[in-house]
Amino acid sequence: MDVIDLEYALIIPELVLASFATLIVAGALIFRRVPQEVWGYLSAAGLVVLLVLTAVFYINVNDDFANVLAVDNYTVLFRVFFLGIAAFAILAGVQFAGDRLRHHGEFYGLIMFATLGMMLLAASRELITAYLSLELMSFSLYILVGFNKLNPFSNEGSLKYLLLGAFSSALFLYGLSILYGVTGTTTYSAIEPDGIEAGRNIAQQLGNFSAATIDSALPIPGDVRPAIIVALVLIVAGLGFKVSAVPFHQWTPDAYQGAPLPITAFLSAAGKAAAFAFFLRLFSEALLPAAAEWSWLIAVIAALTMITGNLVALRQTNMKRLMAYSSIGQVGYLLIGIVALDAGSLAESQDAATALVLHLLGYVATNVLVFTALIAFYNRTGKDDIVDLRGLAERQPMLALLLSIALFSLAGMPLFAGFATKFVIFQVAASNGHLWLAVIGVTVSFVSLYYYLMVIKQMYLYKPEGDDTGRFSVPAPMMGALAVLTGAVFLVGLYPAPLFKAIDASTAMLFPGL
Amino acid sequence: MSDVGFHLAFWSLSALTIGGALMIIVSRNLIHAVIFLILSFIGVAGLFITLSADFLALVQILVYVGAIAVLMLFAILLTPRAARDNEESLMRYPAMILMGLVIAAGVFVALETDWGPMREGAIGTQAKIIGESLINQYVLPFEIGAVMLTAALVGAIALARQDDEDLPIHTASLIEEGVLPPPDGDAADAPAGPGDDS
Repeated sequence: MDVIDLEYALIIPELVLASFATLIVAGALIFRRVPQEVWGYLSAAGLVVLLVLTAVFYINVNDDFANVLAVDNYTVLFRVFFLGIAAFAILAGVQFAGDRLRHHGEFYGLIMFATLGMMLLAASRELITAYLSLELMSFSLYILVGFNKLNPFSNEGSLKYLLLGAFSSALFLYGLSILYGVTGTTTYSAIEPDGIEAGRNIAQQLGNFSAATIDSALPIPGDVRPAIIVALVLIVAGLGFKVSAVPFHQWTPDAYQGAPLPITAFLSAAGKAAAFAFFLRLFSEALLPAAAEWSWLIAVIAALTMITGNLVALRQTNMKRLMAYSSIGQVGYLLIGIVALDAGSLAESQDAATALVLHLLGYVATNVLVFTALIAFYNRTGKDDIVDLRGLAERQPMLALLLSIALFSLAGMPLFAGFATKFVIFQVAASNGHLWLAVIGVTVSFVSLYYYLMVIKQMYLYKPEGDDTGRFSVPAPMMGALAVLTGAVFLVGLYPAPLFKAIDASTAMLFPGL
Repeated sequence: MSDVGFHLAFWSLSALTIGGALMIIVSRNLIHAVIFLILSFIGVAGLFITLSADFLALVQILVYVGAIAVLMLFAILLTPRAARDNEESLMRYPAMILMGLVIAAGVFVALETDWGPMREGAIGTQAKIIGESLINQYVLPFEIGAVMLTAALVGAIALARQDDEDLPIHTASLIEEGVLPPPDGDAADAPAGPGDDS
């Protein structure tokens, strides 16, 4: 048996996170007298320390672990990103968990297990690893959505998410198996063959097939086009469920509404970002040679998603459901980035990838800001309908202001993150030959402004109603998280250049031929 | 291996697998459906043997037929209502048409695609190769699987554990469903539900 040299040093962040999550679960179980806040703040602090160390030690490493995991700048970017979101979700959720949930050690531990799955998902460059990472993330999220176990909505949301998630995983896995059947390998693209698979990988095989269809002089291994198309349809459908693209979005509003609010935040931010990080790596590293076969499919889905998400959001009365449909609309914009990968040159494809990641980061920062503000509100009132926000500007002016900033950013107003990132993504779509998608995107952005303004109207134009109209204060850790997120939203909106450069350096890793 | 024997085995095992799978959908009784599922699993195990994947066949029998099917049977036995109320659905015919189309597409793809010969060539002792790759190149996916199971176990316990504080609410819902008799006389400590107005 030929043993390959496994460089465990490359996956230290993942190993540490897995151990840390287990320790938190076990610690909370053993030391029952320690107040639950301690476990929450300890988890958040641990994640932040890990984030900083990862950022310091892994930039420009550009290696891979046994050819199943790439440790490049793209991986590091998303490692840092997911650790950050998890820290924010935990920080925002400490008071919520104390008031309304039980089993706190498991709660924080599962958030970290999900984060682990996300980090591995963004790094995988092999189908089996990617699938298992996806399931690690999904399993943790299924449980977390149902964590408010005495609430029927939470149970319903969790069950729907689980059943549709399992169904979509099956579709996805079937697609992967067909892809394996055609290409005979599960590795995306081997930059350094390491002697393991000696250069055989999906990208290369697909490249051979498409080269063979163009130039019939090349040896063609039979006609594999029908199988590749079916595999792509199944993979897109499976991933469509995970990112909640129309028509695979039905679970989203129920899961978002039922889940405990910090989990809704985590699900809508990190869950979506992880699926997109994977989507982007799979479609650029492995499936780019077959771009002609999938770009039209994803273009149709992107258009449907943008239109449906934004139009259905108009009719929502519950804040969580509104954010669910708004996030579906945002998924449409993000999918434009995937479509635009199908471009004339690798450099243009990379522009599309950069635009996608930039919009993803901006959207996620904004979304976490919205949800952190909503959690602060919910902790006080226990309500989450849009009309419940009535008069928030009088009760807690700071919170109303920050929520308005976040909503304007989601609508894509200038000054805020949403404008800069949407601008870049629409521009890339137009220059890569998908102008019609950009037109739809701009149009529905105006529609989205309407429903975001409806929320702002409730906060600013009405007097508080009901029996609880007093002012209230937001705890300091929460306020700190809100301040940092608002800073991020403005930074991306006003001065995106450094972030843009960092993303550009990371997406360059996805195109080995560049 | 004689060619005739191989074909006979392949076709009969395929018939067993597909027939079992069809009967799962057709049967209205969940227990019967699980029995057919076991039949289908056995067919798949047989197909693995025809592909010289004897270790996979063993695992298929041990894990799926042995553990998972039994788990399902227990789950059905422990949820008394699950086996009943499986009425005919209005969506039956549209679903049949849709499935027919999907199957047609699948058959078309399977026949049209030139799948080519197996690229890896003959594989020696199955278990040894699988074991070696699990501690070699695929050690990471293997460990991810381990973490996934840990997370699922922890979560399942957290969700399914009955805490003392939950007891009144659980009792109330069981009374509401008619599983427990309604408390006679003073229902002071149990929350009122629509079921206990008798």
